[in-house]
Amino acid sequence: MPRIVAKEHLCLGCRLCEIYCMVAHSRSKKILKAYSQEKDTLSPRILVEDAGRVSFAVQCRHCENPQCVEACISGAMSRDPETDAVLCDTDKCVGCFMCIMVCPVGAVLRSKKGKVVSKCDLCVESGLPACVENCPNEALHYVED
Amino acid sequence: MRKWLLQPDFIVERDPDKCIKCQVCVKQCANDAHDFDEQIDQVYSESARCVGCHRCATLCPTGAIFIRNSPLEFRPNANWNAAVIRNIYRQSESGGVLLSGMGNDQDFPIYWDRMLLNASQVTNPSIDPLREPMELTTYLGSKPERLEFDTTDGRLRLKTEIPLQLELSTPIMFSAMSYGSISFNASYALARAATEMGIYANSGEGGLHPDLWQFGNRMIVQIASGRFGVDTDYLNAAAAIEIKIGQGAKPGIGGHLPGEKVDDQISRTRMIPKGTDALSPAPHHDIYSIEDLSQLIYAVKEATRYQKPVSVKIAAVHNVSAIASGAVRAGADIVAIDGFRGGTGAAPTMIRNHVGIPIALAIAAVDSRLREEGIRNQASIVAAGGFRSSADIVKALALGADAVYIGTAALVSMGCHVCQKCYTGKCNWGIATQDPILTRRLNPEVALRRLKNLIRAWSLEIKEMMGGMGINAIESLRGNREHLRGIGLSDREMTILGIKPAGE
Amino acid sequence: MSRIDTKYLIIGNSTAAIAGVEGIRSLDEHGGITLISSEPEHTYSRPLISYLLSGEIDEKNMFYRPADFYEKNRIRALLGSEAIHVDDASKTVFTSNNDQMHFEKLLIATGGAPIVPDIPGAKCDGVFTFLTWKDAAGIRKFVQNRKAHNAVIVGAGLIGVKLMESLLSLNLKVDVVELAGHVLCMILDENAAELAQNKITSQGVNLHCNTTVAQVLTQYDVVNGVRLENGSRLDCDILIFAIGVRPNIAIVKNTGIKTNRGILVDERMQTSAPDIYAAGDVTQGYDFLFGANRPIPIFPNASRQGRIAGVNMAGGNQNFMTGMAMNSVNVFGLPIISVGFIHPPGADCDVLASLDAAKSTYRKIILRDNRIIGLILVNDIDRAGIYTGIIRSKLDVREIRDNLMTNNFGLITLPKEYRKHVVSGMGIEV
Repeated sequence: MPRIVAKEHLCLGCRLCEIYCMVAHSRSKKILKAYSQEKDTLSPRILVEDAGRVSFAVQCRHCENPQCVEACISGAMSRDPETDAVLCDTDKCVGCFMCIMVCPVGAVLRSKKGKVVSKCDLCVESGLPACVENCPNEALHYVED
Repeated sequence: MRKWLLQPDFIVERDPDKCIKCQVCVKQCANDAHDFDEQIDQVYSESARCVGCHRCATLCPTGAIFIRNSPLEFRPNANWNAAVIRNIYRQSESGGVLLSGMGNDQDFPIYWDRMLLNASQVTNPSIDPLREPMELTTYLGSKPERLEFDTTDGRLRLKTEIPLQLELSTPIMFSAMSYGSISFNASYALARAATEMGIYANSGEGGLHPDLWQFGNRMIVQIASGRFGVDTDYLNAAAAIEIKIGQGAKPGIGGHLPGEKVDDQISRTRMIPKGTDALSPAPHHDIYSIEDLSQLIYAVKEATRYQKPVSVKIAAVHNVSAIASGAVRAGADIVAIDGFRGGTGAAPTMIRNHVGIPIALAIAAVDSRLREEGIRNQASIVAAGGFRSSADIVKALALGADAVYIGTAALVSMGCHVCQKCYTGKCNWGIATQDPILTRRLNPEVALRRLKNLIRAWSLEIKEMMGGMGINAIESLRGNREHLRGIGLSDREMTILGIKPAGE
Repeated sequence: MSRIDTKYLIIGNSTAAIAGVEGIRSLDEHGGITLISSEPEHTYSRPLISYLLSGEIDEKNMFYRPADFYEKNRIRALLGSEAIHVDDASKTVFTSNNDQMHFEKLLIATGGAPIVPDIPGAKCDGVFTFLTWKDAAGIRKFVQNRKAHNAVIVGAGLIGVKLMESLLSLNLKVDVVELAGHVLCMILDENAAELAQNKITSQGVNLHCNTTVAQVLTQYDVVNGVRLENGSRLDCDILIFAIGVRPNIAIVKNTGIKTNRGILVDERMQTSAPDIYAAGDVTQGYDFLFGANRPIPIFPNASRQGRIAGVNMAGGNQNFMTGMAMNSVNVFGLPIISVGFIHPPGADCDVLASLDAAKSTYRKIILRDNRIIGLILVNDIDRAGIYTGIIRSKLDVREIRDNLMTNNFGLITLPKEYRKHVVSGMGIEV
């Protein structure tokens, strides 16, 4: 299963991963344009939890038996057979938030783009995940088991 | 009372069109130079707190921050320049000794920039390092007077016993930086990089942290005047032992680690109570003559069963050749000389900037003196103090050094921006600090990768320069002053350096 | 009349059945699967019928799986064919067309049937239940043809609440009749229900709680009003019963398969008959919070049960020990999540609660023996799944009790070992 692993002891709590994730999933894909024109719909798919001395980034673990897929009433959540990533088809998502209710990591977030959810897609369309590439301390690693 | 005379050294410029208020700069600055005002929804900066370390500018996702030297200009004055004026302001407001980190930043001549290397043309063709073998392997230690061979029964055998040598894959080592002045992650990266690149790292005077003993056979441990962490296990864990008499950044005085930086780990490694200042006295209180030094050298050799080379580190001062000669005769296998550009975690600014001499002159002087006395073979010379590039290193070897120590360059490789505020313990890059929030910023794997890259890159460049000179082994470079020419040097300087002027 | 032999036979075409198929195929790529369902449509999501009725989604988004699902999984799908009896002794299923289907392993996933109370006058035109696509289509057509203005919904549970939204978007005046004292009484306590009710009434819905429909009034055999228990009369052009479902167990009547309210299954989803499994709304499986078997007609439950049944049918060995009630519903844009108990089941329980009526926010956690057994969240539903994970893993929370109600509750407040497993380890199965 491919997924992104966070090394807690290396996380600085700087939240750059959230910013680069939002930009990578924005329409314009350019940071200044995204922040000035898409401000209301920018939604990160990764969340940094920060308690001062400890911090780490949380995103979808692309679990082997994904509970979000199990709970999804519309079939929007599914496992992509090619990449093994668990993806959310936002056209099918109706915003019932069952996935938010069951994800044990709390990795599914409410998107600002209407009712649907925001969830890590391993940047399957663009190559190396944006958060992994841009973490200033290399605290995020892309692993495939 | 407010200290009115103190004005900012730097100005933080923020491009408002590019600032997306992500507040990464606010969170990352250990000096609290940035803050976010929720009411006006703006990030603003307190330039007075900026130390010029560039952490904020480096991490800013839109490149919205610029750090400039303070534009507050004085009337042009060749004598009373801004730096000396500001120093007086600081001392008038504080009444204290000025402190600085890193090495001498003053405008003294840089001899590396006044020497040029040769290249081969026509008669002695240059060698392509990508095609031909290039020998950079360097051996540090006492070399025998002569080699005697045995030719009985038609085979050639070496009779002479070669004393212990340290083997380096390239003539570069990591200089002494104590665990305490730098973070554990930094120490770890240096020790591991030395191991993986086949060179050595010097532990500095802070003792050897237990988690670094695994790299012991690539470590040189120090016995400094404070004797921190010194016991027989410590000595036997390492590949060589260095008795530190002096340091280029602060000749004549000892090391100082403030009590605030002495946490549990440091306390255990240095074997001192937690929270106490770690003060190394100026002299070793059991070395008051060259004979005393010899006694300590042999005590160390006894304690390590003569299994480890012993090095003596001295600062480059006025009579450095005499001191070096004495150290060699006292039994040192390696003499390490630290020039006035050498770095430090904390030193009084006046001593750092005005005491000691350039390493280039010291290397030449010591090498010449030891040759004259016929004892050059008895010890290797290792030079330290501000080597900034592979070209500096090649020139140092040509002047007579066997190898060099790099300190500042290694830290810069790991991310240091030479802001000179190491003594505050607020290093934003996680290098010169013990604060856990800051030390996690230095990912040891990333630091390791960078150090290895630097050593690799410089070694390749050294090979290129050597190939260009038509030589393929480090022995042909060492002490070969014919490969150097001076430019913009006085006759006297060239005599001391033992080199001809460019054009001759 | 024909005889069909199949290795795996699935009765049903909704959540549990599809999960069952996927469970089987995860272990057995080639064994023949036959699926039989009384409804003719390609598998669709039942919960989406309210979104379809309101026009929020169109037909193509109703389907639960891609168009080539049956083909890709090599399923012989007999849609529109009704299974009417299971003979466990001969391992045969009889259909309404008189077909006999012989199986090696059977999965009964017949779901629930809507409860229709026996009310005088209720057997007329204009009275509907709300479970299937056909129901949604029928309601829409009826409203159009009749040019209906007034709708009455009986039941303010999950189905009823979603129906309110759909009918309002069809420009109907909506009255809702509920027997209990407040809406969503199965999943919300009074505080949360009040927040939900405020939202509902602010949208123009009329709520009539603590009463029920005593009589259905008709004209020309079409509904035109209801009389409530409390005496009042409501105009009504269309009447929809949304009281709930009961397990659809008719198919196993007079067989050796043990039932209670639903088909009884063990933790492997096996019924009392060997080689016969059941999953979904038709079952009565183990609820680990309750400590007993009871029907849990909840989507993720059906899905998990189906998968486990399928895996076990194909020779695997998996258990489902963490069945419990859990619901996530959006009430006119107000998100609500309820898991486990909504009231403390005994005196030995602790309740942590915080209510902010102005912000329509509510958080309630019920603890028993230092473990979370109940959760209600209104509006502030972010990271809810972390609580669910804690409930399922039966984590002892005494060390972190003070952090459970904080605004930034997250993995960071959990013990490092639990967190390490979740953040760096494999995806967890609870």
